[in-house]
Amino acid sequence: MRTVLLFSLVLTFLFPTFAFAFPFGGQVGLAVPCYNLAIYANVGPPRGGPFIWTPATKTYAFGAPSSGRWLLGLAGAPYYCIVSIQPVIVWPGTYITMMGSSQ
Amino acid sequence: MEWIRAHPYVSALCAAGILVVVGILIVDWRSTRPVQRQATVWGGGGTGLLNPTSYDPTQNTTSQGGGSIMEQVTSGPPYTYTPPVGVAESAPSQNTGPYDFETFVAMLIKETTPKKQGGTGADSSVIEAYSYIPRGLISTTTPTVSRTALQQALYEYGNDIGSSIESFEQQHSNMVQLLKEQVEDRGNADKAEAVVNLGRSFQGLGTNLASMDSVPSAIVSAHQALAQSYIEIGKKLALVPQAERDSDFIEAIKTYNAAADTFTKNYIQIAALFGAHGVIFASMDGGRVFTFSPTGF
Repeated sequence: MRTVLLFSLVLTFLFPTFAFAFPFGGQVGLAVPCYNLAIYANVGPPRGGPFIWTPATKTYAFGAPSSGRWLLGLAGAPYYCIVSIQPVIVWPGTYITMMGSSQ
Repeated sequence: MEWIRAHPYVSALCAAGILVVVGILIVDWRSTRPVQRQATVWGGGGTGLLNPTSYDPTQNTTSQGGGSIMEQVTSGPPYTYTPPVGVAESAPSQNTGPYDFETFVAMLIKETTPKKQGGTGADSSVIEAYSYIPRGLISTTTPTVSRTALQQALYEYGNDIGSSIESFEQQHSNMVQLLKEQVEDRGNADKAEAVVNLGRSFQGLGTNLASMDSVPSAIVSAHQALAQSYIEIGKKLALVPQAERDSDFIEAIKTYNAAADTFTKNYIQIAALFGAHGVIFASMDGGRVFTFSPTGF
């Protein structure tokens, strides 16, 4: 029982929570273009996680996410990044509703 | 001499002690300030270490020989002291009794005003000593924001809908993880059921938002579009795990993504309407889900 509680606590602090409409921000470690004209961005701390930029995202200066840039914005619904259709490789992430990025 | 040769360390210690005593005498002789026999706090001339509340600023400039510590610091050659430009005007003090802390706090939080030239009272040195504290940033009361009737209605609506969305967040804090697990194990019925349930929750949220009564007329159409978007993404998301073939799975994802695009556009439209009407949400308001800032983490 104690081990389960400890493991749950570790998971809680290791992985950020994915919420429905929340601010996020951090440095992009990995940016992958998606088959469906989106960009999958793995954002680091302080509040990171897998996020997906799309052409519908309200984008302020300085453009879409790319590796090494810092992002700050608001994320919303879950979204799918289709990395490949043959074989099927799909990476879910959180839809970036609006954001700005560093130069 | 034989004793000194026999005990060289003792003689060295004696010489060091003599040097220390001579140094103390030199420092004491060069000091212009009379030696104070009472333990004092740092920077508080004449303030007892064991009784800091006994500090009286009126005694600071008059009772001690050689002036106050501020005068000593500003008049000494190694220091170039420039009095601050914006110093609050000293309040008239007539009481000579115990220190009036309330007046002191009132002077510190007073807005910056041009310094009155030449007219420095007994408290001016105290004010200068605390002049590094930024004026106007300290507030003991919460500022009241004046809103028009429409702004107030939009503000209350934003907090209502924001609270609903936040409540949904707390109940479904692992949405992406559920989708990821289902994508990686498409044959697992439990993981598929979890995604279907998430889609139903979206539909429930959309239904609840659509039945809200207190929606301002300026935002009714955008609100209905947003509520319908929640229902749509819920329906489309529930179809994704039901697709078995790869092509159907990709098509289901594309359909859901299109619904999510529409949802995001409607969400941005609501946020833009708040901005267009000048409605601002604080970090503690439920409507903060429509804004983002570096302090919002």
